[in-house]
Amino acid sequence: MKYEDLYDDFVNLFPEDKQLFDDLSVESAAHQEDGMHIMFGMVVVPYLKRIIINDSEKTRVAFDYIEKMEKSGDSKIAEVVEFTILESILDSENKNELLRECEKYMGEETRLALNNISGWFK
Amino acid sequence: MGGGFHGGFITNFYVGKNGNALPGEHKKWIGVSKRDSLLKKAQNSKLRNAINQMYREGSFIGDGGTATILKFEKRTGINVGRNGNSHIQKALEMERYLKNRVLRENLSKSDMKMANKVLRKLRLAILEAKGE
Repeated sequence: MKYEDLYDDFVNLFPEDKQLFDDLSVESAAHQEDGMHIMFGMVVVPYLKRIIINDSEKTRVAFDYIEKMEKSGDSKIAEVVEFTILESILDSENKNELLRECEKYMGEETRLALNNISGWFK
Repeated sequence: MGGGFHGGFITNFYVGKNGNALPGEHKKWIGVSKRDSLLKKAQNSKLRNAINQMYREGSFIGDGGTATILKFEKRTGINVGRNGNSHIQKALEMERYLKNRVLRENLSKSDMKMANKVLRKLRLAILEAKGE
């Protein structure tokens, strides 16, 4: 797993939604050369928030990948999980609904990261 | 706020929702997020994107921004992430987004002022985190 490839790898998990990812990228002016926090924060997280509510199978696939990121052993990759994906979910207006759904599919390491990050929130 | 007994001294500490304790010596870092007030003023959609990514409404550290968290990590030695993970990479990427995307927009005077202000805060925090 390479930091620079995280976004492409994630999008390739959902080839049927490629247009949606492209639309979200254009809308937010997110460019891969700006980095993975940008791509995940502005494109992947909004996508995740949709599927968490609407599609349990896609949510499972997404959180399997997020667990691999957290377990990658590369701190730069784990930081995207912790400071961009999980922080965004915890800071959402509908966080209780999102957490209730996505916690079903979270791996052990992602769950530990969530517990840690949520400790820094009110 | 909470209180505890440690090594013969009474120690105060702030405890987050799920138990992360901030020792009383760092209480000056406890603050109120500026996210909502910044979003009320920001008009440009890319600037709003940047604010959304950088500021956490639910954070109790300083103004809830990435720059403040980075300074908090550097000055207290407490890293918010697991295994010593820090906000430096995120700060570097947000700096790039502000410079390459937001400041190249045709911004209003107040948006320009805000974008430059948050960028300057971020740059100073990055320099401090890098020890420069």
